[in-house]
Amino acid sequence: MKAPVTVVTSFGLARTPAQVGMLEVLTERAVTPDAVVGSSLGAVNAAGLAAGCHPAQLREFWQWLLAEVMASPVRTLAKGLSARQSRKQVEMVRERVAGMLPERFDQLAIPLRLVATDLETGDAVLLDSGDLVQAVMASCALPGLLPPVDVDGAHLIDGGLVAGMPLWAVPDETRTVIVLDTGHAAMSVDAVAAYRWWEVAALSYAHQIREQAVNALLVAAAKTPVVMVSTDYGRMLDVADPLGCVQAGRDAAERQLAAVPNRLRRGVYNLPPGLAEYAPLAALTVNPGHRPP
Amino acid sequence: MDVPGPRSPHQRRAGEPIPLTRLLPRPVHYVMAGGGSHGAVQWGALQALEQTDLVPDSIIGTSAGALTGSILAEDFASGVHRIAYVWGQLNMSFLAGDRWLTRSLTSVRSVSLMPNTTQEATLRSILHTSRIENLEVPFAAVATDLADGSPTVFDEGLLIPALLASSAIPGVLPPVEIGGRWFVDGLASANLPAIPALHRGAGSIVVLDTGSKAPGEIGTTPAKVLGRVGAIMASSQRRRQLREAARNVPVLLLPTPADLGGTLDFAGTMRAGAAGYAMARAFVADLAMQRRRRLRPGLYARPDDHGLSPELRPLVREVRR
Repeated sequence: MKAPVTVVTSFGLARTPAQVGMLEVLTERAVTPDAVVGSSLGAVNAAGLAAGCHPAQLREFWQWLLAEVMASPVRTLAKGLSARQSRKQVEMVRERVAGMLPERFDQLAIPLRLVATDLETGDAVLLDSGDLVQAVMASCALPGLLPPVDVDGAHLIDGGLVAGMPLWAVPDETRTVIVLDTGHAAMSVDAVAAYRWWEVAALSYAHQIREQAVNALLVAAAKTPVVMVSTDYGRMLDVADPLGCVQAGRDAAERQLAAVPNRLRRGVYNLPPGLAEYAPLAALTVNPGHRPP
Repeated sequence: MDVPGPRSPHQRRAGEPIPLTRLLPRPVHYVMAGGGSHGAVQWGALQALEQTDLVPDSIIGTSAGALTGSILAEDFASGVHRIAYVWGQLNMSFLAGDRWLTRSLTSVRSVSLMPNTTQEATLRSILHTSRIENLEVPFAAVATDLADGSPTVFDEGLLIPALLASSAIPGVLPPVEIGGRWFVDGLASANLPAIPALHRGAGSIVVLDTGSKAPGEIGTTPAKVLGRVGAIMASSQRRRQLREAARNVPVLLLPTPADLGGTLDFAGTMRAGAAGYAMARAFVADLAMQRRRRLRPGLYARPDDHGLSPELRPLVREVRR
């Protein structure tokens, strides 16, 4: 893999902890990024990687977040919609994040870029300097769960709404992109046939974010090699099993990184199954996508 | 009253159509975006286009745009008049039946907040063609495959199920089964289906968008933030569709009003139609006066169009007043 290498972390709701397992494998394989880019809940892992956090710290964070803050979709939403609970919740999360990370971007070991969404204009906003904890909180301010964060007069929310896979923010000089992808949204026909209305709505939102990822990949893979590491373990709304997610991320990364040759060319490596249906993207695929066992 | 003025600047003699055909490389595709009750804007835009010499070679639509587009595709000569009667009458009772609000509250565990039986009956009362391939103008409706999220283009097969699928608002109306797969509203994958039109071989594209809601104060309470999620994702998706299309072919972005009500609020449809008509007519007349040669790829739009974001600016070819 040619340097400079940029590692990108995607959105993924309750599946985001899988990125921790993927990061462990990257470290074991001595892949050291020259820049890190993150969006949505993936911003926490991106910042953790850039700060040199121990994976155990991140594991602990996700176990806590999924058990205490995101416990069940209905309860989470009810809590998020109450202004008082929401304030209490954001203080708890901020405290945890601040406990793991330095205060400012310029104290990080590796340059970091986070993506958030401007609530007013709907534009993507790049955060790469100043207050780090505030930037992480903005990038992962999931609507209904955490409140918007005010930065320079703008209200910023979850970057996943406009860039769930923030390839757009990858530095220009990058020669290899590694995407830690936990945004798998495709389901089986049998599963969706039994969905209730709120599951139909949630899955449709996930598809919209996924469709942005397709376009981001088309643009990025046309000029740089993009190595995908992805898992479809569990469900994005299932918060019961963060450690299972971490393990699934480990397994996926070991298997998928082993399939990547040393010399890379432009295109997508390991295109995951849910994205392989898009013909223009399939045409940019260098090696066939991994198949889940 | 909101009544458009009597004459467009280009019409020098009575009844003279605005010459657009010479500007647009064929095949010309009409792209009709979704947008619920804001679809009335397209009714006005189609009235404006009827005053030009343009006849579309193909029509593609999503959700409300698919319904309006299919009426035009069924019979081009009468289409705009029939669309006027549809939009003149359309309200929630034609989509959800009477007492839809009370009924929707009792069905928390079901597949959708309301059934689509009323909507289906309404569609059957409007449209007389059973199969898409038998429509007069080639037509396609866009829906989203609920399982894998891909935008799916229905350009053959039964018309009514395709329209129901294309407008099955996720969570609100039930997914529709076609050929063993489940489909929801095209808004989840291509609410403004310009890229699908490109794939269908468009030589130029006329975008009939649906206008937007009055911006109002941006609230930061959790409920207000949640309420803006759909709009933010839709505008991001719209930008990509327009950018990709305008890089390859000329795209006319007909201007739309920015101060409409909610997308399920049908009280302002007549006003929306009038605004859509006046804005689109002035736009096509100005375009016909300002351009003499066949258009090259780019986004032909009003310089102050509220839907233009910084990333679209480099593609814009201005159509001034």
